[in-house]
Amino acid sequence: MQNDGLTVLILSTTAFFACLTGFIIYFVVLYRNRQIANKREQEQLIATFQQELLKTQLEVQEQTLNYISTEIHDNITQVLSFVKLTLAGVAAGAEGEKKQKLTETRELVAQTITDLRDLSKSLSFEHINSLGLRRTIEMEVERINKSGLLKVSFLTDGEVYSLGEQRELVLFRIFQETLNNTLKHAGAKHFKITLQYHPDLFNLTLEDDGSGFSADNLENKTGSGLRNMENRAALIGGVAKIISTPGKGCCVAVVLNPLKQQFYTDGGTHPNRIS
Amino acid sequence: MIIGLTIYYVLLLLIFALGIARFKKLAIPYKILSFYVGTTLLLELLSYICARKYQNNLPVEHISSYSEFIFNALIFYVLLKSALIKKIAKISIAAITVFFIINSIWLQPFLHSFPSNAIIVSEITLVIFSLLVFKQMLQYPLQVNITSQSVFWYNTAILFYSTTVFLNFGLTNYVIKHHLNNATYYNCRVILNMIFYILLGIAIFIEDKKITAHNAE
Repeated sequence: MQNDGLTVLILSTTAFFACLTGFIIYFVVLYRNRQIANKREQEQLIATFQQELLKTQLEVQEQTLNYISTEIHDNITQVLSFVKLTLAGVAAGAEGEKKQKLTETRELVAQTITDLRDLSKSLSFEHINSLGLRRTIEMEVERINKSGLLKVSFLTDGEVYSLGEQRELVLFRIFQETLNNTLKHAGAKHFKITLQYHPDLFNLTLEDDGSGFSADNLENKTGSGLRNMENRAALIGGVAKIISTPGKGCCVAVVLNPLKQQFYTDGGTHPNRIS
Repeated sequence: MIIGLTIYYVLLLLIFALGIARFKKLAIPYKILSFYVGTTLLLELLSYICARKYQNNLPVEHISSYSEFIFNALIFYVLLKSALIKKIAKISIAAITVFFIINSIWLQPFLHSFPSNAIIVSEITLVIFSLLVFKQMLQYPLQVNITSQSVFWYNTAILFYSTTVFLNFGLTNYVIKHHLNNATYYNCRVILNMIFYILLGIAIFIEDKKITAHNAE
């Protein structure tokens, strides 16, 4: 009787521990599989981000080269042609006229040198790295205001901090694309840029008083650039909101938490990899 | 029996000492765990003294069963990530605490009865918490070997111990009914307890704040 009891005792205990051990082994195997799947997923995300970042860099470069090309063609070449014509006419004129023409020519050459100096600054694609987002935007604002195409106001709120090279590049590209859209399509007179630096929140707001557009535009081809902004903002861990109604301008706002680490930006540390 | 008990007390003391020695390096859940081991050691000694001196250690059993529940429930509360589950955990901790009080006063008075009702309820809760943490680990896998994660060892320990409590209760009835050798059965229980505390000791020993921060953030 006692032996039977002992057998039952041993059997039930063994069965119990076998189940428990089985569960733990099953969990370990399952966990390992999840680790592998997770690693693949993260690698895919890194690759997508790197591709998008490269695309952004190329777009920024293209935009800069376009600007330089336009400046050389529309401004510098014109001024230098004028200088050439003026100098050609100097020999034929009277002494007083000669002096005046030479003074005018010297002023024009000085202006061209200043323009070329400004242009050479734009040639540097490393602006964002060295100057940071705020200063780079500030330089763009100076340029646009000088051109007279648009009246741009720029406000900064809070103590400026770095968001990291990659995040700032993407934000600059969003700014550049919005400004481009405003110049090309909006017919706006004013453009307002606001940068808000709070300890746990960064906000980039871009507003114009142009013609605006309806929400339907976001669905069709016109909206692909706008959707691109939303996707890029998401890649750096932010949220882009585009608000516009016909006749009431457009507002693009990008909000992100600077404390939230996006593992594939700024260093590319794996989120689940413990060093 | 005495040798087994002595080894058990020494083991508790060693794990508690390990917890204290590594206290600064431990994340909050494992600091709580170190306190839990220390409290268990004190209560086990007190239980032994009361059994010897007054032939009644039931009040101490009531206290130790509650201390076991509250310490582990707090650890799980910190380890769980989901806000909803945390909220449910908070409510269940409060509800079970009330049940412990009611049980110790009216259902199984602390001077006369062993708190089996409260233990069953608390162990079921701990098993559920443990399974939830296992599920959470699968949802957010780390690129770190699982055996290097203290949460795995702690969770395994709780799952092992809390489920063996039911086996213990079932087997206790069986042993009494069939007049089996009580000493062998008692030694088995001490061995199971020792396995449980060894697993907790491993959790404290390999604990790395960085890994726990990822697991419990």
